[in-house]
Amino acid sequence: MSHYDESMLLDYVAGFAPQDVTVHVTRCSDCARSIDEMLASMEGDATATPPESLRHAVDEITAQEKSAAGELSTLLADPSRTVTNASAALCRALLRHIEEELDRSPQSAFDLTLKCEQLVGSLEGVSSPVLAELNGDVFRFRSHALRMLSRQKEALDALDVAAKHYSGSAVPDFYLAHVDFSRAGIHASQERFDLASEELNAAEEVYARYGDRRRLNRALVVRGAIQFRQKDFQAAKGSWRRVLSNCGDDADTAMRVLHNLAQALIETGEVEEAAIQLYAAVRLCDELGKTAEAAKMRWGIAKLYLRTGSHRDALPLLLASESAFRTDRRFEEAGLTALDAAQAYLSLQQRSEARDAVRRALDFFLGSSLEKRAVEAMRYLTEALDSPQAQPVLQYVRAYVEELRVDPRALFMPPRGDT
Amino acid sequence: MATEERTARWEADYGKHFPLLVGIAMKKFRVPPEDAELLAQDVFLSYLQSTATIEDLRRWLIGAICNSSRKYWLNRGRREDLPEDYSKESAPTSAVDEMHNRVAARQALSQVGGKYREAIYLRYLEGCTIPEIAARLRTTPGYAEKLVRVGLERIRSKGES
Repeated sequence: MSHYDESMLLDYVAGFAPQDVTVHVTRCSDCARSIDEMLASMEGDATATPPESLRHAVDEITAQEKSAAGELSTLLADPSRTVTNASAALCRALLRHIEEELDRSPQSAFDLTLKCEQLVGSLEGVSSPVLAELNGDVFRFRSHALRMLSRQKEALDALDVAAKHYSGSAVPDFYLAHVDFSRAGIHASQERFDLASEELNAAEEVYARYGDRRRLNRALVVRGAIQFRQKDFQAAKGSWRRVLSNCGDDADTAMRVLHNLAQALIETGEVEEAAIQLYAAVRLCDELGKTAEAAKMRWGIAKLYLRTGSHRDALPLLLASESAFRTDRRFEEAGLTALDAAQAYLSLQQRSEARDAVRRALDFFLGSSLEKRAVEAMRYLTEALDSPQAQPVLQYVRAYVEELRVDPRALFMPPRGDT
Repeated sequence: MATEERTARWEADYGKHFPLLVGIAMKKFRVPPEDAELLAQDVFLSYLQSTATIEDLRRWLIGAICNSSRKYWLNRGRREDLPEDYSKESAPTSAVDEMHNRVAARQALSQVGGKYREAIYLRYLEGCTIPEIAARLRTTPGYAEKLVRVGLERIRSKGES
């Protein structure tokens, strides 16, 4: 049963309900159901067919789409060449390519946005909402590229331009929410959490209203990360639990959020609950065939066991993780996992196995970027393994290697009291 | 998705959602039937050419028809008479100005957030006075007036930028 009448619910869907209504409906499953029922009843059983004039327009667009793939290949072979009679379809194809290129080469993606801007500027006979969306995408993708190139200020400027273009698109608030979300990411990376949070509020409200669960979840994941970094662990848990209840069959999102949630639970001392979430995450990783992520999760559970003194439970997980990291050539992680295994063996008085594990760790670090300084620390550890101080030395060395990953210039100093 | 498949999907979506869009334009925004159909057709063309991944198409289409309907009145409200039943509305200046204000306010509501949006909504869409807005927002008339003023300034600055 909804809490508002149909008129107010339609106001909400249309984007001009008062704030209190918007806040309520965004989170109320009864109202969401009522909206769906209302829209279904308005839709009725009648169907429509496009008139002939519209069909012609569609045929034209379809023809352009078909030739766009070939035109894009020609363009990418020589981006400097002048394109005559560019179509909106070619611009869309180029934008899709830019989006894929962002992960591979941000600089190349940035350069292509310049070309795309030029192409969109030369389009003729295209409706203004379509032009607005294309231009908005060009500048939003340029912002992504700039952000990846660590040019944050320019990335924010590009988003301002994107927002101006999107305001003329067919669904301005929907596209402006993409800009808000991107701005939030930049602000968060600069630790301007209040600004990031404000941008996320706007994006979340719009995505909820548009029934865009996937993007809403992405915004909530970022919100949880910000709360976590602000050490508001209860709030972070709330945000991530909301994602879990909302992510349906999106196993990839569920897997990442379960892992995040476990970290927050560890911070609030709910270790058993954290292990449950991590095991659920491991199951999802295995189902999705994500071996690297599964190894990280297993490692996380093992560390929980080490913390609670369950060394025997930790060992099989550590060895499995170490093996997976080695296969993926993630030598730093493999080395650290081997050190954790050494710690477990030492606690179980299995010195020989501990020595083997330290030797493996040394081998892994020899193949990693930490080589020079880490090796020095590992040699020190190897010598200390037979002494009564083996456990604290191992913990000391492990902490040093962790520090080395963040600060490669960190010098190894033997523990105090040692000569 | 192959082009033919996409076009076939588009036709199916058109058949399913077109009556809803026309209905919203007519019922919610009082757009005349012939114009409502044209607006809905434009929305479907924009959808066909959109680059966005759309999860809930119906909501996206509704957002688009609402936006088109607002723009429709924004453009026509300046030069055409209002529908007859709008004479019943209270008009602080003239019926045309009031209609224009309402449509502009609706369009502008997506550009401001929080209490500013609520104050603008109450002032221009519900026709509340400043003391009434203050009562609804549980604040002082001075602050309510400030919310309306600053909200309008923000909308204006966004419109100019």
